[in-house]
Amino acid sequence: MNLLKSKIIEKKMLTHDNIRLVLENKEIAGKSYPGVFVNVRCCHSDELILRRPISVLDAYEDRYEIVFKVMGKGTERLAYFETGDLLDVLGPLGKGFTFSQNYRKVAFIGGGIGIFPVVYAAKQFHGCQKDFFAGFKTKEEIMLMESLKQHVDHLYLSTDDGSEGYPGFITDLFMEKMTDYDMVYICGPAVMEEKIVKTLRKNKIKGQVSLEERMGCGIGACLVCACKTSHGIRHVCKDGPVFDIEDVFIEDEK
Amino acid sequence: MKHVNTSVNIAGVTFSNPVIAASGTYGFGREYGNYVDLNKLGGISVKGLTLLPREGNMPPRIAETPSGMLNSVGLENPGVERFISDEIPFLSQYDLKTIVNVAGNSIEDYVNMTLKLNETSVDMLEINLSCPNVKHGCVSFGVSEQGVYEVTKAVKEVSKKPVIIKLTPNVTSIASIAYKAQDAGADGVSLINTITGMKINVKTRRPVLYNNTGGLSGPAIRPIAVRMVHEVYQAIDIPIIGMGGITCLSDALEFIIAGASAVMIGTYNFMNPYLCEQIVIDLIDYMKHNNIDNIKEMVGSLRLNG
Repeated sequence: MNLLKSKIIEKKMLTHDNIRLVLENKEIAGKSYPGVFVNVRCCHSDELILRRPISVLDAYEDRYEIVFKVMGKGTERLAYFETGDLLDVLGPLGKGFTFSQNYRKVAFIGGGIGIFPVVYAAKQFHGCQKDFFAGFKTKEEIMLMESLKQHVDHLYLSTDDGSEGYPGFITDLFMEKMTDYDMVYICGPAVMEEKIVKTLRKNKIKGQVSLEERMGCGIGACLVCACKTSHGIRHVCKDGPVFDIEDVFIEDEK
Repeated sequence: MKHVNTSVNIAGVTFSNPVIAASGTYGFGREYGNYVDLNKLGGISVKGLTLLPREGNMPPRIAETPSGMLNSVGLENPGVERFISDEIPFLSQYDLKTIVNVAGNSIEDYVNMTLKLNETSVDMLEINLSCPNVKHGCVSFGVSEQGVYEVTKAVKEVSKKPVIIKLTPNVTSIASIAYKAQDAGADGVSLINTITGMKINVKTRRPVLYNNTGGLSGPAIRPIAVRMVHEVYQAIDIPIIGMGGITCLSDALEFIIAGASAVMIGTYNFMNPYLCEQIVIDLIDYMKHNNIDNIKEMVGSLRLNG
């Protein structure tokens, strides 16, 4: 009945404010797959009473990895934990990406800190052509790309400020290169996701998108992370975070 | 090993222990069944139900605040009919008592829902006169003595189930409101619901919640809740179920000592989904170590200073 404890095996800065943790927990590692998340307690006092949902970057043997960006009180506290410390982590939670051996050509699109679940998917899904589109604000925020190269056939990179790769948004680069994909996996800022989802739908290309919403319990009980879908109100933590592109970003089209 | 009696009787319903999951934080129990043995809980108060299904408010519906959180879910629920067909069969498998949180737009809504629930196996009704996140009904009745009296009276006239009234703290005197509920025939009261609050994003100068305001819950409100249970205990004779920011057994005992016959555990389940069962285990240990044979000995055992 003990809460799941995950031991920090390794801690590494990926950029000036993105921290990668390698964590040890056999159960979480064993049940993880691309697109799922863990809900992490960030401080041991009761000042912060909500866990922080963080997507899983990778999992193997009895270890799994997460990356978080230090951007608020919770992640600031989380950044204090060091190698050897025990974190209180619930998970894995939610429904992730699905893959089929019938796919011949797939694309992965990640924007900013949305790249983690799609990087995981690109590493895990095998047996087809894999194109990866990664967008960052600037050169300094680029991460994980070197190790990703060996897992994909094409890696397309953009920066909003043009400091590396294609100058501009990854959405525009994707529109240029878009071809007859059997499946597209997406995670990034909501504006990016909406634009890509609508373009794919128009072109009758299948896709799965990981949504973000503020969460409470993370397990589907408190109902705060609501989103409108074609099947009615659904909850990102339990019904998602990964949804079929047919079902979300539906407001303006009806 | 010595046997201790944790059971409590509230309005004729015997709970195996005084630990009940609070409405709105535990869904219909299904999700938490993966973490706790639901049989170990005294009861569950299910997500607030309305006569017809409701989609709830637009997100963001949650904002974290110091030692607490604001929510504005807005009573998203499948409606009372689907609760009866889909959820009661699930909950009936367990030993825990089922309390149905009933939220209405009008007195007729409360009455109609009560009539539907009369014919089911649920154990108790918790009349929600306190949800702050809907435009009509609920708290608009709960903030006036007359509103509380009228709804309570109307429900009691038709109900075959014991009826407790869930009170809002957003009033001048919660003791007077509780007294009116008792006067109208309520079998008990539960308190407190959330305290209305607001969080502003300074960059955008907009409230963080889409609904602008929300209900504050969590440890931040616990001292207020304990004080209110204490005041209400002095004002009425019917049983009290206390809640507000309980995170551990010690917090729960504060409410019981102040006068609550049972407690509800809410927001902190999000941090610790094992919490309800843990508090039951800790309570039994505590009673054994402190030679308390029966939990009733502790109810209202507060000794005031001076």
